[in-house]
Amino acid sequence: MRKFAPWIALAGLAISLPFAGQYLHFLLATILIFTLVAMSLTILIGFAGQISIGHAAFWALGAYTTAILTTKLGVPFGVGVLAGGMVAAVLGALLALPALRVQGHYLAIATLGFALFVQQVLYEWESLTGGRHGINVLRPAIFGVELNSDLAYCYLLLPVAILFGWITDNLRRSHTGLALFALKMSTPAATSAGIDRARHLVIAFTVSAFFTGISGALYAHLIGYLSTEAFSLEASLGFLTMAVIGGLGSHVGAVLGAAYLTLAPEVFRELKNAQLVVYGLTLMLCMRFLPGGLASIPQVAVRLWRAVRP
Amino acid sequence: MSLMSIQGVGISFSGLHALQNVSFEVPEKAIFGLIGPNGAGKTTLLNCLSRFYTPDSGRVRFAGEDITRLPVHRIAPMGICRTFQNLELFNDLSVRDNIRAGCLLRHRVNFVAELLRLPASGRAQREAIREADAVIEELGLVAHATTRVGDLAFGIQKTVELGRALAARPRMMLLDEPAAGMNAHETRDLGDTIRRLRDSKGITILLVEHDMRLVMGVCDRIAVLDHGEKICEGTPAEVRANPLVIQAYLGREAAHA
Repeated sequence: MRKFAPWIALAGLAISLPFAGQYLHFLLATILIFTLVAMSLTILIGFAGQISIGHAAFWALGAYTTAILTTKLGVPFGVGVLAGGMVAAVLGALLALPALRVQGHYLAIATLGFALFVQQVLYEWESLTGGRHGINVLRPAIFGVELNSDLAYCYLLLPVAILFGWITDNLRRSHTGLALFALKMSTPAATSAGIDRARHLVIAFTVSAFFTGISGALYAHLIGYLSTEAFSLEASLGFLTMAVIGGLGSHVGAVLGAAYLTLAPEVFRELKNAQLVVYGLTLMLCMRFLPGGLASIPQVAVRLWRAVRP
Repeated sequence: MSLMSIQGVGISFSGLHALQNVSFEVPEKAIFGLIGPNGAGKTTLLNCLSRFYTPDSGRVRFAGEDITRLPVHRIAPMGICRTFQNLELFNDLSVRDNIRAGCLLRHRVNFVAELLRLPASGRAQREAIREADAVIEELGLVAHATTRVGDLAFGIQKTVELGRALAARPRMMLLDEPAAGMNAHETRDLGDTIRRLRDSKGITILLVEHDMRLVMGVCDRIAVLDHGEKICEGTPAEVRANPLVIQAYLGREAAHA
């Protein structure tokens, strides 16, 4: 029964979708898209133990790649999205190079620099990206059928999110996954057991960037318009917050984190600039009292219950 | 026939000579002891052999091949595995996964095949688990197979580390103070284990150890380091009788007295 519970929940969601309003469809689509980013950070941070505060760059690369390919070259939606993931993956492999030399804060700074660099290039390269004017993106279409409503798009995004969840699980159980865990827990032991650190870090960064690139491309087609402001440092930090608050490691955590990142701005909209204070506080409280993220609430609740029960 | 040949190895850290012109040959299927007072350079030498350090001078050959500048992760596939003075384990993983990590070098799968769970990846995983379970059984770890390694007692953790090295099926093992923290009884068992590795698996052993009874009991041949230089080499009896060794261990005054 436990094994089928998530599938029943997903089926229930898919059936009840048409009865929800358009606004909810948009929010759900956003959550599904952010879920891919949360999974990508699960791979990079949770499996490989590497940090990135530059994931907005991969998101932007995915988004702009499909935007340019579909609008300027008339490439089909699916190909554009896949190309978005590929371009991000190639740059992800490049970003693994500093990770081979530096760790911790230094790597964080290197990835931050990379994100600022990508954002600036996209901003300045006006002939290609529209620069400060931005660029319009077509609605998603499959086999020539345009998905005009966000509801239809949700039905496409749902299986895509499941597919990427499956890929994440495969990686977790694979030899590459074991090698990444081993490197994270003891690099000397892992390398002296024959595990090639460089190769595995490149794989982790590449796969993580691919996930985020795909997510960015799917987001571009949802939003319909891109400007570089959407890919600022704030977006990168938002992704990290999502990973921490949701909890690294489980799919439930990824979805919860994505839901937080999507819904928090809606809930706290009235607070205007004070929003950032709320995010910061939430993040700190979460790290202090819920280090396993929202996904760990059931375990924590059980522990508390056992502690207070006479 | 020598399996590993260490020729004139030297290394210095910010001007301080940690090793100077160290040479010796480890014969195939030997249990070779490396001893010396604290700070003599034993672990430094082990780190040069397992390629965590690159010597400034000299050369290391293994089975005829020059491994002096090989990347760390290429050492295990050559057939050399090591354990660490202060245990290096994957603490959050189970015993089985720790040992399975040692098998990975024989089961390389393209990572795209793994992401998509193609048949090749499942096959490799099943084989690695079977091999890991064989090692687990051999070392008597069956009861702990699914336990998180960080939760186990120190002695069992040491066995797990040995198991990970064994899982790679090495021709030679470098053991860095395996008896540290063990009582006399456990040390005696360790001596039996080391002999068994050599006798039934044909693994050549390079043993760095402070416990003299263990070293003198199991080793065929011993080299003594002091201040980064080899001061003596020979059978246990020869080493024990060498005045330089006594001097190194007990100090100059004691030797003159």
